[in-house]
Amino acid sequence: MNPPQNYPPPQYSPANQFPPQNSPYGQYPYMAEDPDQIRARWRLPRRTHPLSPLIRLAPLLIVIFIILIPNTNARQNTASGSPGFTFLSILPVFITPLIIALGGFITWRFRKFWIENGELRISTIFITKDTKHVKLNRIQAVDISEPLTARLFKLAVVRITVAGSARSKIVLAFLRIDEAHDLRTALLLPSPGSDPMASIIAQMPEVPLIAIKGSELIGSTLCRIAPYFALLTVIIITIIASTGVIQVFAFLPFLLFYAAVLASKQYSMWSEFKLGTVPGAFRLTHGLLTLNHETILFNRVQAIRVEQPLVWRPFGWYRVKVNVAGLGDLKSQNMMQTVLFPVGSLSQAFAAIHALLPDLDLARVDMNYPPRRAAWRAPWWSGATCVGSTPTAVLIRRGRMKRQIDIMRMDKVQSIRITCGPWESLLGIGSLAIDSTPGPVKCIARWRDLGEARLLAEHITIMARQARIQKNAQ
Amino acid sequence: MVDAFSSPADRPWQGVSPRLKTLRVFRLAPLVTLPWWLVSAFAWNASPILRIALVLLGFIAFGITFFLIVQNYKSWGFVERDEDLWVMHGRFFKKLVVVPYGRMQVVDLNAGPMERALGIAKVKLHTAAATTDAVIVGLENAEASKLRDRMTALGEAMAAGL
Repeated sequence: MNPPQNYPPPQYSPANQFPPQNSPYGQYPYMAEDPDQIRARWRLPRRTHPLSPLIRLAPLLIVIFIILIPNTNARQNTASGSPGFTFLSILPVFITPLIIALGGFITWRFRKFWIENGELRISTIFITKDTKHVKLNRIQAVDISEPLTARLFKLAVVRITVAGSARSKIVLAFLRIDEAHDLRTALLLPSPGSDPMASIIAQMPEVPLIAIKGSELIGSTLCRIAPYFALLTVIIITIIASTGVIQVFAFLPFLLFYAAVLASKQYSMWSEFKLGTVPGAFRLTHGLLTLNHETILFNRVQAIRVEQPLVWRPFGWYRVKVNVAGLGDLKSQNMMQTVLFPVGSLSQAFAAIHALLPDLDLARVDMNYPPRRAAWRAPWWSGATCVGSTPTAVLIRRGRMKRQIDIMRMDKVQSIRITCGPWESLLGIGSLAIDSTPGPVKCIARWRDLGEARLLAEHITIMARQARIQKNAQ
Repeated sequence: MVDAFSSPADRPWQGVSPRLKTLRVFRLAPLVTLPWWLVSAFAWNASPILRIALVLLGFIAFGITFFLIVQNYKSWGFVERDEDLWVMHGRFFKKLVVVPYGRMQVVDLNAGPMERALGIAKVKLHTAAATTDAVIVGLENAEASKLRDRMTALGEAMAAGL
């Protein structure tokens, strides 16, 4: 994984030319519109879009029709003595969606939200009164996604992540797409105590960095599945050859179906992928059926990993993952946010890293390998593991089959550990781990010479402190 | 050659309370000795030599455990520096953790019933990383609470944010 020829890439302008100096809105130089006007639009209590309850019901209705239509036909055709298709028998099929629709209608009718006194207020007054106040400066992220059914009506879902409650996101479904973006701007307007970057980022047009071609996405997805199929074929052939049981082919359709589901899921999640930068953040747009807009603040990115599974090597594809602070539990919804981009070339990967860490010159990092005696502990892997450090980051490269490089930001180092077991102790080697927040990237330099690991640990301690001080001074 | 697990420049490792040994002995001794002794006590049909051997085995197991407990007790050490805390422990599986005060989010102080009876406590430092795992066990109560207060104060003073 050596840096490509054209590295470092030409400067991506936004970070340098920001903020523009002569703007009519004084303290908000980046605003295209008067912030007070934006706020004023959201001052009055309002409901979500009137179609919301219906759209929420849509998937259920589709399922019901799919079940109901063939069944009614079947019953009418059995012209025997049994009553068959009666009002009573299909009653539950209508009542369930009705109840759900009623619930949805009540939620829509009695739930109102508005922005007042630096708070987003959501009140539901139906039998009981329930008001939720969310301080705007506690809002960490506002993500907009457009599920298929909502997209047909040009509607979108707004998801609001609030600091301190990683588990509960506030969901406002559904708003018109332009309204959703406007609400996002209003929520992220600078207020005392809020992260000023967040509002800047909400306003800026993005500079495109990476767009993934459909062919690349399909190819990379197929490549991921191919080895398993090869293995499966070998197993099936072995079984047939040794026992003569042809019936094992019966499993094939299921497996094919399963693989197709997995592949299409991957495909629909990541197709139309675009990665852009705004000053201080990545902006991701992706999805075939559900269109997702995500924003990953540079400031919250703790560590980056560039990885390449073995099967991708002939094609020169790479994937980039990140550890993002405050994602809390890494469940499905959040899992997306740990992938910075699903497949791309090395120069694209390096461009993304360059956007995040402009000071890091990957071409000029001295990488150190473990001592030769480490081969007694890990004969195959130790020769492929190396570590290097710069004032901005610690780099760890490892893996022979699946190759990866982990980049830990110096100013985000949480703690440093040296560990060493009995066998390693005899060999005088140990592991140096640089702890980061939970996520896919784990920075562990294994099988280092113990003395060197200690010196490196002390070095990182000092560098990390300096990086933190610099960061705080900014 | 640098000793990877030596204390940071000019500051010796600060040890923990010797009562940690007592705690561990009380906790582990029954586990390692009683099974042998019980077998010995209830094996009426076995030869007396075997029964005595089992009793001796119990003592040997206790001896080994005691040796390990002492080794482990000696291995614990921590150093409070100006900006970070160093914690080291383990003799066979060694571990050294460096936690900057600015990264500490929560400092836990806890003591179970046995620890309370002995007047010792455990201090655990949490950072935003789940893997940090910086624990100091067997601190005298007074020392533990002072350490906790110092850590909390320093953590607030130097808080670096995520």
